Amino acid sequence: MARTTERTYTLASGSPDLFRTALMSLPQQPVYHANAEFHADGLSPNVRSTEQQVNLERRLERKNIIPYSHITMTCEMGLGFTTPQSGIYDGRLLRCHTNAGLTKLLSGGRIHTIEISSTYELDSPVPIEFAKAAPEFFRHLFEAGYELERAKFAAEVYEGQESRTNVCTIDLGKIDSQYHIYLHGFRSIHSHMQPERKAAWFDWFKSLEGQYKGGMKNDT
Amino acid sequence: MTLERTIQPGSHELYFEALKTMPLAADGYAYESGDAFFLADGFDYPAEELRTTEQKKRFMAECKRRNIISRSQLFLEYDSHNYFPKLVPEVPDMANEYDMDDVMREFLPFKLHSEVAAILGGGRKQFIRVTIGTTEHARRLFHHSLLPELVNKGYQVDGATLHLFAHAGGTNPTEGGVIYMGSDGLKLVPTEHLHPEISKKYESWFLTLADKYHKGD
Repeated sequence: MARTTERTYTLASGSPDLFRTALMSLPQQPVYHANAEFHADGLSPNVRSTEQQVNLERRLERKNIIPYSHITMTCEMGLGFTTPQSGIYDGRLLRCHTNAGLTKLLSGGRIHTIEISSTYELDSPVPIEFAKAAPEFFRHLFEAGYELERAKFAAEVYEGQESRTNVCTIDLGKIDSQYHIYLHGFRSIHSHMQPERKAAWFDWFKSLEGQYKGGMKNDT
Repeated sequence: MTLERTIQPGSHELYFEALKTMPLAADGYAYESGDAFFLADGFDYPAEELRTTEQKKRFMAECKRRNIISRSQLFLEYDSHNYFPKLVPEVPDMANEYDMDDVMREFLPFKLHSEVAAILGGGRKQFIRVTIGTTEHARRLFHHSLLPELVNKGYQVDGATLHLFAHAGGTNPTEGGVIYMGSDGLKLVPTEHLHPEISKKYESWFLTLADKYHKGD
């Protein structure tokens, strides 16, 4: 179902394929900030009870995932996505109820959470590099069994913009079993965003809407 | 004045047995601190043999076959109760390692670096460094628990540097000398400050190993 508020376009679907399709088809438009979080086999480390934790760790063990391991990757100028500069192994790794944390780390499991976090300076040529490099990177992530938990992209509104206070963001997130995509701020910067850029983002959104039975309504 | 003894050639078997059998904390006959280095399957590839694309491809393929993330590294440090991963790059930054022009030429336009893909697929770290804690518990945990587990997972001892206390209950970590494992073999380098009782323990340990492994003069 689709819903439109004053400044937000919303697309929701019960299909997990929505996020995959959305990321693989991101428009080739510059973004000055990108942040996304993926979990191996879609298993979120955020659990509320001991029972949920034990169940999670059993599933991680079966699926050869290092519990609570986390790396952050960035898209660098001239390099595309680079090797992560640090690995973070949450303290829970050594306090697993199944006692499998360090063992799984040494035996070569997969990383539990992979985060992408890139922010670029004004006038940097990097934003378009991210858009170009992202589809292949996302493809590798999906092929390796990672699923998107959440993502946020801030679109570059126009070439040489002097500030980024009027932001236009694209958010992807899960609420219960629904997969949501939001476009924020597109109306408020309506007169500032370069028309071809805005069209590219809307075309992307409309295409997803058509495939996943959501709906994008005109906000005027 | 030091009396240096050496067992050659060095090997994983020698180093593993040395670490398993060395005098430990009982009665204070222990080294104070140290680092130990491990390689998955003992597999390494000299940098000078990784210059061409073909060489790199072969290296990556071999790593994949062995379930190793190429050039990945993990540092483990003792922290109050257990060995814990330290925050270091999973893989050394290639931009710092290679000539930037080479990077640009090889990896652009926007090719996903093969090591990034390897990380996503999972696998063992190629290189592990363990910084052994300074407490008795830390040493016991390393020798009796972590070391066998590393070897069980296919890691081979590539080297180690261990600093000796001068005397039981000593406080100066380097005063007593050093045990070194590396490309030159296993070396015991005690100083004249090392307490005779401790020295005797380590020499006995060393001579047992020498009888079994030393192939030199």
